Amino acid sequence: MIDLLAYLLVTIALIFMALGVIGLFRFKDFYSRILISAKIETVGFLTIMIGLIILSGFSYAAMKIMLITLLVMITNPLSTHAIARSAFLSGYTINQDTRL
Amino acid sequence: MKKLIDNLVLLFIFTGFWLILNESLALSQILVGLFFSSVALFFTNRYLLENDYQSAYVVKSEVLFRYAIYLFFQIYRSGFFAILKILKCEDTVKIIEYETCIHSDLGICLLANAITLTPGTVTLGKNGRQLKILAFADEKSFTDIAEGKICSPYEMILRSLDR
Repeated sequence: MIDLLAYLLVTIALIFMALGVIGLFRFKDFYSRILISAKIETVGFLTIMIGLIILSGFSYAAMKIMLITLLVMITNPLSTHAIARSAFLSGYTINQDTRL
Repeated sequence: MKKLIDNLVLLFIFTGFWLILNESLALSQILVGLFFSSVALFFTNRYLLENDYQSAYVVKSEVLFRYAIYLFFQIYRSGFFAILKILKCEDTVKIIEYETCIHSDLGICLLANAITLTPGTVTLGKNGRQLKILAFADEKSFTDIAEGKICSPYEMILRSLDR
């Protein structure tokens, strides 16, 4: 039963990621694409890791996965932030079609 | 005395990480872990930070817990809204100038981190208390300076870091 829940979470994570990839293709603007890629990184990664923790049970492997999750959650925004900021500072403007 | 207790707490946390990574609770591993934790703490305090570890990264565990729980639910809530946007192909975005209610540097960095972790918002820049946020057009949690000032729920949690 627990395994089933874990597999369900992994499947949900893969669906999140697949939808994120579809978003990358559907959106036209760099800035809207980076907003969606941040979603794939965060929601997809977090869900897949929770699924793997449940699958591992109470073990060192589960604790290692928790550590990895914690470290990635701290460092993950930095890459998104660095890419978006460098684009902004380089004068990359919001596409007129997608500007509010 | 307080500094010593804070150092001991950090030592135990770092040693815990060491034991998990080595998958062992043997006495030798605990001693090696304590040794490397002390070296890491000393090195960080001595060479990497202007102030010591405690004054740079002091976060109450209660605040950290509330922050993590709120962030966790916010990530999923925003994730589902982002899926709707993908399906409807609503890709209008805006850049907001936002002035935060938080004064501590660590608090502002945690807020910027939370903003980027939440799907649909990315922090573009930080200048003092002003943040530049890239967001989807209908983002309501963070209002532009021109639209008036309301503290976001993140800030209400992180405000207790101000000393």
